[in-house]
Amino acid sequence: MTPLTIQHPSTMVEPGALTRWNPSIKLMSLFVLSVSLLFVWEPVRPAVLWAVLLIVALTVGKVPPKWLVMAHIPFIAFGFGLFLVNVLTRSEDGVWIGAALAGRTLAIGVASILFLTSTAPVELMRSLNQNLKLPASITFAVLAGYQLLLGLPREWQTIRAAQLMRTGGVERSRNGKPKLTFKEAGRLVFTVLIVTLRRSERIATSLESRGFGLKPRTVYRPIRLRVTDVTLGVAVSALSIAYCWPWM
Amino acid sequence: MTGTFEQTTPKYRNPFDSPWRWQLKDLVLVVVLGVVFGFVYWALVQASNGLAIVMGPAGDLAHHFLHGGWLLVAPLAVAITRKAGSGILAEMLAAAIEFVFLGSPAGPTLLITGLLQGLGSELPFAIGRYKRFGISRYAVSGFLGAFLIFWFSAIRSGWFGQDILLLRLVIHCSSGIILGGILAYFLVRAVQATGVVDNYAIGRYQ
Repeated sequence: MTPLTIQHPSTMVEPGALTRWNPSIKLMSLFVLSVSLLFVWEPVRPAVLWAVLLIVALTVGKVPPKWLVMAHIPFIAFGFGLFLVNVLTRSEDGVWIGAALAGRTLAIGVASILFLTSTAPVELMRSLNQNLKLPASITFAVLAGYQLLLGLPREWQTIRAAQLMRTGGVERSRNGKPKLTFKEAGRLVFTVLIVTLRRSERIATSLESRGFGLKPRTVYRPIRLRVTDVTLGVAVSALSIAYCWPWM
Repeated sequence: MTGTFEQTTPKYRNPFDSPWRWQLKDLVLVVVLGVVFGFVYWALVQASNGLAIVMGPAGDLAHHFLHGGWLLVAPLAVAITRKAGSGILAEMLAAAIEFVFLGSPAGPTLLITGLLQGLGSELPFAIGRYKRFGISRYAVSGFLGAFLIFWFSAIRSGWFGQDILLLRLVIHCSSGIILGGILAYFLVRAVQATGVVDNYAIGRYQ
């Protein structure tokens, strides 16, 4: 069995200018952009925005083209579903609104790719804690949980192997491999859940025993909020609101 | 022998029984639940997409059948820790994990989704002052979670002009009651039976 691993997109792309943008401000700008896109009900503006974002992703974002194409598969599947159902269920303007929704999915999708490939989870959490003053207990618990998440596929494989040892893989698929039945999958998920719950108590105990939660906290390598970060954030937010303004 | 001793001492009340007193381990548990369910929800999205392809033209309805599954973590977090806000926090974290770490096509608007789902699911338990956990309360929780999020999704995806709005609402809320309510009740019972959560508020009320 080859070991399953989860890799964050940010580890696969060369860091560029977007990586240096403050993660909290970046997240807020992305949020503003996505929410303002919800008010657009025609396909032209999302399509133009999608093309612009693609160019940004390929030049500034340094996202490899092949990777960008692969990442589009779920967005296209999702967008196509939205398009189809609107064409079928709306008698007059189905095509128009369906295309608008599909375009919106693509635009938000590429913007999210840009965010994911340029932001490492640890940096984001540290920035949320230091710049947005989110409680350290939450951000560090999320990071501990993220480490746990990275170990989950391995956990899954171990428990699955134990399960196969006991049952002997009663049902086999066409190519002779043991088949994961619905009942077995349920047990597997439940066991993984219990293992993580047990581990969460252990994490809490070890955090507390190392003095986590004592005050004052000091910070190693503080994340600074520069003027350029804020300027870029305000510019992107203002531009996206102006671009998506309903009666323009 | 010990019986007479217990009668004379005043009954000890744990200060952490209050829904407003969070312990670090409550917080870590809620966060870890959020993280794990963020992954489960992401897997559920893939399942829902698969089902949508199988169902062909009616594929968009597939999402409604499975929707209750996205409500599971809030009742679980509330029932184990019995803290105010735990359901909302767990749902929002699950949404954040889904988006920030796993890359969901819905983007950051998922955070709003998580907030609404958590709010709807936690409300019935909050009304019971985090002390009542009967099966019907879980069902109401699943219904409210599904009901609140339905209108946000309707605005976002433009369901209002469609001919099947009512059909959507009915499937959506039934799924919420069954998967997000009744299933959550049995999941909590099963988790409690394993004994891993005995050191939390749920274990003190046995």
